Amino acid sequence: MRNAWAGLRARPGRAALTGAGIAAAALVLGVALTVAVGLATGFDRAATQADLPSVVARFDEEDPRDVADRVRRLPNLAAHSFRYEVTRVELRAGANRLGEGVVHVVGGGRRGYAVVAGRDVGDAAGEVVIEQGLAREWDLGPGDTLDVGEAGPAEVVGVAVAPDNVAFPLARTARVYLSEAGLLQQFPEGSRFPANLVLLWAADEERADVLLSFARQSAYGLSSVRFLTREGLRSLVEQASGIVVALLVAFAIIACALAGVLLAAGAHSEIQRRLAQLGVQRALGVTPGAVTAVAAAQGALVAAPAAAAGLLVGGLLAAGGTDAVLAALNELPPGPGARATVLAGAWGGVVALVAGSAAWPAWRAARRPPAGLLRGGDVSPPRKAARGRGGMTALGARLVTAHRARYAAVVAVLGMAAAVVLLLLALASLLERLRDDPATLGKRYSLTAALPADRADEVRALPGVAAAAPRYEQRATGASALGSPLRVIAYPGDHTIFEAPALAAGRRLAGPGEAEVGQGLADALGLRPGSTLAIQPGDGEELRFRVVGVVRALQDEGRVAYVRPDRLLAASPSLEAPLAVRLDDGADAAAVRAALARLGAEPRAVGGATGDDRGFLAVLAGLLRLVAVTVGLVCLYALVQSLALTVRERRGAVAVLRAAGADHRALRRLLFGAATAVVIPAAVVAVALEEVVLAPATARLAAGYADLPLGAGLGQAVAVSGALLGLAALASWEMARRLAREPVVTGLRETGR
Amino acid sequence: MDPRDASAPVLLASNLVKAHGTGRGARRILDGASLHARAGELVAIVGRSGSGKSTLLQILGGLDRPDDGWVEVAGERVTGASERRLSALRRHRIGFVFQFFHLLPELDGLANVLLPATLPGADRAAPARGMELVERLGLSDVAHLAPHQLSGGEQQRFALARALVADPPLILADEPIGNLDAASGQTVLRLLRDAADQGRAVVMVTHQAEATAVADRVLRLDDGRVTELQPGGGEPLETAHDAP
Repeated sequence: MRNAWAGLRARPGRAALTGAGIAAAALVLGVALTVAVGLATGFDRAATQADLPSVVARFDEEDPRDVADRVRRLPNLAAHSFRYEVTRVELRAGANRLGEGVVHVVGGGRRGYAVVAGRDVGDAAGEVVIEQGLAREWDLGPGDTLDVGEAGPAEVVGVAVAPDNVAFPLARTARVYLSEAGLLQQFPEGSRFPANLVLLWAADEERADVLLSFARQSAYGLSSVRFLTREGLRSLVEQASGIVVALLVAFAIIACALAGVLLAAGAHSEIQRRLAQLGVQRALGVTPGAVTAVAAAQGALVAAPAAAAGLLVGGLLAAGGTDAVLAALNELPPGPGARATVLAGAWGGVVALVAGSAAWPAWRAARRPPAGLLRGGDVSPPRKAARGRGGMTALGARLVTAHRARYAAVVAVLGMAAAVVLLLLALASLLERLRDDPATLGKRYSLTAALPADRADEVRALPGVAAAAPRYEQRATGASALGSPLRVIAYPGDHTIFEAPALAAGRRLAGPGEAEVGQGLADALGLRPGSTLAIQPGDGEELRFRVVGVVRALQDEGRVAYVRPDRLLAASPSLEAPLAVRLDDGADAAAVRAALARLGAEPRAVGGATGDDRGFLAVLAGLLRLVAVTVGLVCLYALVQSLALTVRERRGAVAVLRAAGADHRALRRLLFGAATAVVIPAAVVAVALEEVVLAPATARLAAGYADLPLGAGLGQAVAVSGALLGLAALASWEMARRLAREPVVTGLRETGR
Repeated sequence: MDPRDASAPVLLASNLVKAHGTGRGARRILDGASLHARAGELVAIVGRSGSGKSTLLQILGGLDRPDDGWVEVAGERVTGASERRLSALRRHRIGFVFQFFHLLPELDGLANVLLPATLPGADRAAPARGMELVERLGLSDVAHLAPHQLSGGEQQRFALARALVADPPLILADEPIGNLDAASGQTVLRLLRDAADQGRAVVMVTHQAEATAVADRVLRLDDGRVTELQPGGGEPLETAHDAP
């Protein structure tokens, strides 16, 4: 260790350069790990901390005493608790006001939410616990006052997280919790509140399906029963972060590969440079083991502080964005201890990687005969010398390709990093299209009008309107798999005039009793053409449809069903439907909107699936931007490091060029040639990798139920290639500047030794 | 000034000082060294190992900067010049020949010779001159071989052709035959002599007696100062910095 330390002190500049490279790689790793681990484990962490129930059953108001007997007889039941949920309650705090408040009146027993600030509601009147999204959005905390509908002002005593839904304002509703005991003090005329929710905790979570099955059988007689399982909740919530997690995992792998290749290349180059010195050591009797140990110790000494700094900064940079996404999903971030453990593990890995990368070439070199080592080492002569056409740029390309294996590795790594950037760009444009362009979801109508169905003819008669029809929409759950939520969409006629997701199997529906189902729903319920789709609408009895087609719908993760409205209206006669308005090609949308307004409608532009989630999209986009910038830095680092290694190894060649009169312009051309020799094939690799591997894999991973257009466009490919060339120019400019400051004789002396 | 004017010195250096190391470990390699070389003259610099011969040559060629003193090549000041100006000076006025040849392994012999001709701002006649040099130096048959396929003598001849391709008025050679066998060494010395006879100033650092034999003047570097020896190695006749 003393020898290793002395070796580093003898060349502090070189050690600092190596350390900077390690710190950059570790920074990338820190960002990737922090985001990936945080998002991948967010739901489980929140579910565990909140003690999320295995099954949630909703039904019309009942006396809890009537339901309790049935619940107690359920097998595999560990605990249960009743709730009374009241929707559309007005919440007010200062200038903030929301008509979509949801009040949960909680009695005794387990809660199913985690109190993350303050305390839970007690038996006293006038206390409320609010969900974290509302607390953050309205800047409320324990001690503040919130007006809760008819219950009036209540003191906020705690802030809670329950991962059974995304947070306000990503969800349009905001949830608050009041205690039954407190409300009974406030409204003493009632003896007890009814219940319309029961939370069931399984004794054995692995066998929660048994509990669900018996619960369904026991629900006979209760009206409007719907079940939602913990797994169903997970699938709903995790879809939102699936793409980001998949991207970040891919990115983390690339970051590790990059760090490994570059660190190994740096170590190899350093050993090559010191071959003669190693030869002297070996001639003096130093064993190969001792030589290897010193190299490994030097690597570890440089890597330990550099990796710690890089991982720490990367972790801190990514923590804010990750926490914001988790908060929007109503999930909890890992604690400082968990994050530190992950980063500490990564630190150990990086230090081991660097030490190993330094030790391996040293071990190989030290086992060679000392006489060979004393002759020193340079780049192996090429099999065929070139004629020297192409000037400095071509010469630069020849210098960087002299080490074929490393050249291939750098091209591959840079190509992978650029492919991730391409994927991020494609994802960003997809998010924009999902947000702004309903056609991405297969929607062909662009406006809705709040008018009754019998006024559709008036709307159709407006100039610029191609078609108009009532669009019925209802949330439901699958009756055969009660944890599966879905959205039912119905048009009186041909729905493909207004919505036409691609048909994956079967045919289009032709009449009442038939249904086209999304691939996501088909996968969840095992449906195919010819199967029966049994659903339970929000407040109706079970409805059955024959599946005639499967469509690749993106909306609601493919958990949709297209039907004719007859059966829906029979079950729920009060179901309202705005008019979907499809415009003629090239029609003036503003003029149509004005005409609709004159008819007394409230025309609304149709967004994508995420039309109401602009805040969440902004957070997600911010996180993606952070990742993209980090990947861009990785590309720049890979280029600079690759050039630095080439220059370090070919110092003599560069010095001879300078002695022959090469000025900074010539050096820039030389290095630009070297850099372009790396970035041009890397750009080709990136485009091919994104198109053939990453985009299809990510699309499958994120949305196997739909055709997710994640392939990069020509413009994006050109932009990334241009950016790579720009980075090449930047890297070569910087390297040429550094090189020109170094005395020519330094390179000559080093080569001459 | 016409660099090929035999009466005018192509190279002038005065009172060069250069120290290596710092503090108590500092050592003056050059301590007031002065010399000159005229067109058509081959000057050999001798001195014991570590006396600073190579350092002096590098300072003369603008590859290193002195702590004090000045150097002029073909009437142009080297010391104090910007890196850009120094590059141009090396491109047009100075040719270097190194002990270890320093041919680029990726390029064949001819491409190594033509390397200075590919630099931005190079003389347009350089490529033709390079081809002619390869022929004149008897290297045509091996022009397309890689450096590692060449003998030491052939490599040094290619290196010499590379130094001459820009037709510079000054050639600086650092131990040009230090790595060659006797026969190859003689060939290279003859070529250097020819280069001087064609009107160039050639300054050669060497520790080999056969190299001093072809020189017009022999200078000795001792204790950081340059003194001129009589042909045959007698006592110094005059100190170089007394010369014009």
